[in-house]
Amino acid sequence: MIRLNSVQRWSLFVALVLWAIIVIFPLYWMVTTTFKLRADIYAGPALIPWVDFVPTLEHWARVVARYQQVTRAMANSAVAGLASAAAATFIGGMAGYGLTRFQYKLGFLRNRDIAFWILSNRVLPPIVLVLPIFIMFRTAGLVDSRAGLAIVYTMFNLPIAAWLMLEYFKQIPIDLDESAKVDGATYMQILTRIALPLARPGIIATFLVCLMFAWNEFIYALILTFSRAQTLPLVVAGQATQHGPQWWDIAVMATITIAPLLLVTILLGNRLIAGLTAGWGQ
Amino acid sequence: MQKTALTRRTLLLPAVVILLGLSIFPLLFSLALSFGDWGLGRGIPYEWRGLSNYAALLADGRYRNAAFNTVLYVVVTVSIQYVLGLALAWGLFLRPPGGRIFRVLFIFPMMLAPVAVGYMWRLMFQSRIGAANFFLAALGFEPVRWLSARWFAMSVVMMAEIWQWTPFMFLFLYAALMNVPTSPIDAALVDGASRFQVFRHIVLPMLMPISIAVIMLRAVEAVKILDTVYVITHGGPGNTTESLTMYGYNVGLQYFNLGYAAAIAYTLLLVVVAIAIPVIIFFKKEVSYT
Repeated sequence: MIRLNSVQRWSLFVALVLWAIIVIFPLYWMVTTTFKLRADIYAGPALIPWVDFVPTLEHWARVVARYQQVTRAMANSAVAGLASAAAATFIGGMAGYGLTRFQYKLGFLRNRDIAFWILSNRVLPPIVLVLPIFIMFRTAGLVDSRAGLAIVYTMFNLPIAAWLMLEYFKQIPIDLDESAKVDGATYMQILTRIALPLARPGIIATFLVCLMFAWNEFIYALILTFSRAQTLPLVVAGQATQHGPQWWDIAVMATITIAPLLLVTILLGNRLIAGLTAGWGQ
Repeated sequence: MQKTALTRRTLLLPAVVILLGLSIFPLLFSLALSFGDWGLGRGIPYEWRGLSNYAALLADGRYRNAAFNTVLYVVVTVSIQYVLGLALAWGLFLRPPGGRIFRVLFIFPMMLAPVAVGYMWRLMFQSRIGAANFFLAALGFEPVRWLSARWFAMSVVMMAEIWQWTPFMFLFLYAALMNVPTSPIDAALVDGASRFQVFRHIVLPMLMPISIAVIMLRAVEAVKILDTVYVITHGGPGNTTESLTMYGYNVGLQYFNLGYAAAIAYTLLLVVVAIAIPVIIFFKKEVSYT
């Protein structure tokens, strides 16, 4: 193990603090903007509340009262996100479990070819898929609906979900299945009594990753929704490009958009890191 | 045994059906669109045009500009993200005080909606109320109209991208570093190697395959850049900072020229495939199955 003397340790610490400031400053600037009066926003670099400026809830109150689309967008983001994350985790989990426990042959495709085919769907640029999906959804009456968004997000998250779940199920020794089978357990019992409980941390991590991608997603929502089913990122982008000068209101909306994920990262930080990097670099 | 076969198929079926219906079918649909013309909303039926859309791309200055911008965004942001991510990973690998807190703090940006990140940086570089100009003023400089000049505007987009995705590089390089075997490092240290020599001649070579993988993964995602450009510059001033995805979106859903938009999208797909195939081959070698 490389050892540092105390001068080196503390200079390293200072360098990392500098990067931490770069990470935090844009966030801090936006969040404090939501609490500043217009005069303070235009006056100069007001940084510290109660010293440089007197915090106000004016903008928050106005956004909540005046922009009904914000509350609706929160509901849309939550519904499409939760539904698609659950569906992607479930369907991806089924595929991941199957691919680690059975031998498949689809034409010339074997298990690992199927796994790679599933994963490779993730790299397709959305702009290629979204034009035909728009036409399909128009025919099916799914444009500008939560159901439509949830369906697209399930497809969009499925490759990652299947891949992560496969990594988790792979870590559960197949011997456990074998011995349960010898004891007379059915496939269903093996799945519900052995595989699922052992994979629980993986299921939670996969669900969170899918939820994050769906919550933050932009291009599908941009093209497939226009009023009723708009999500939070779309409201932020729409306001930002149409009403440039209302910086404070849009800052409130953007803060609402990032708040849940900041919270999740603070609460589950290390577990999330473990989930994201599962099966990496061994 | 028959029941096993049924279970086996049922497990895979939903995933295959969804991907065939919503990914592979649209992919082929788009290909067909790119060889034709379809005025959706103008009541014009699909008409086969052969390669004329692709031929038109060659003469399209706005397309060339968008393609150039996209390449520039990818090359600049991904290389800087890699260098910064590697430096941060190495820094935390040396176990500084407060390492666990830094580790969580450093991954914040990649968790946030790119649209909100774009807005954050737009707010920082807004000419009248942005932090950047306030600091320039404090140092005695004139305010800069960042978003009204092409190269300044592109730099702001790049800063937002670097800020958001350096954490991705950091996270996966750090995870890889934690799995690097320590005995060669210890042996080199015993032999009197400096820390820099250990990093340069032992750690860096061991991280090579992982480095190539994360760079390619980032590049595949970065090529599709839309959200930050859309919010920070909206392609402007003029169309000078537009990316390929943004141009495709404008052509397809603002001008409703689906055939031409599909052709733009397909050229992007070719780039993605060219980057992705080496990554997939790499991963295929790394992963073994039961």
